[in-house]
Amino acid sequence: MASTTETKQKKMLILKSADNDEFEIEESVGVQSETIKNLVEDGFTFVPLPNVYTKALIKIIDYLKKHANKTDSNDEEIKTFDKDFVNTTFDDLFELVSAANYLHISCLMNMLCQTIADRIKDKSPEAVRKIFHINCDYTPEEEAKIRKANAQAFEGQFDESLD
Amino acid sequence: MEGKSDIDAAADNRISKLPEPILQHILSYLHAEDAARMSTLSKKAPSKYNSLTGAIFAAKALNVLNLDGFKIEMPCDDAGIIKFSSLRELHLCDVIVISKDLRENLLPPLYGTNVLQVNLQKRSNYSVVDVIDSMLWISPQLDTLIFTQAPRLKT
Repeated sequence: MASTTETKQKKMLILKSADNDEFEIEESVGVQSETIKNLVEDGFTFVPLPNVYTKALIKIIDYLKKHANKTDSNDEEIKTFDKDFVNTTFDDLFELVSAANYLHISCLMNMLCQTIADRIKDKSPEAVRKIFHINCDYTPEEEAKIRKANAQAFEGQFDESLD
Repeated sequence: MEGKSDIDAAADNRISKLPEPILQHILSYLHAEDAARMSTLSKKAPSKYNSLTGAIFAAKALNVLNLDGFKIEMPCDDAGIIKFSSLRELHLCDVIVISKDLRENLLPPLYGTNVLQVNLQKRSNYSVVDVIDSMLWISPQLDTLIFTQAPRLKT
């Protein structure tokens, strides 16, 4: 079992999404996810992912494949890929960030969190609430009080757009 | 800007609501002032204060830490906990006064710290009393509190 010679066929894994689609990937690609790595170390080659939907999984597999082949020479190419990867709607980003969190892919998680943070940083709390689908449970009086306590943070104009 | 838009339709989206730890993680990437604004999102919505207090790395060997505007790069692990309880000395370049309401709900983040140096680089609207009050809450065991550039505070 310990033979990992180059002539040996590449080890493959099957990932199954929450909507029951199956994807075959190379083990070396999959183990960039800590969650998958742990399962592989326990001898699994079939990995059900009940929290990851097909749409997000396809994108994440793309990401893992790209990043598995990282070398010094394709640095620029990967940067372009990453930039394109995060250029999507908030709801897509949220699906991806949930999936990256579940799969424990830290570089992807960092990139997604940074992207989302950069995109909400100049927005008003009202806009951010809508983007995150958060209900405001403060009374107007309570909210005014917090605004007053943090007045400095509310100076200036904020972006009200939701994209 | 009046009139409610039809955003509720989006609530059908299966992952439209992010789990709180992930939301917290995202907000931890914001700078202090943007994060302070986000503290009005909802009562449960995490803010920088929560992530500073609730969050991250066990700084056992760390004795001095310099923070610029409370921006902390979080290592991406699932525990997501910073514990500053063993931190003895802290230098800050910006301050945010943590409002009394928030203080009631949080634990002091720098419980073991006894030297706190605040180097204000920006003009601040906080009064000296508010800042000191807040700092004393942050570090109840404080021996020394050093302000450089104190005139930038309101008196």
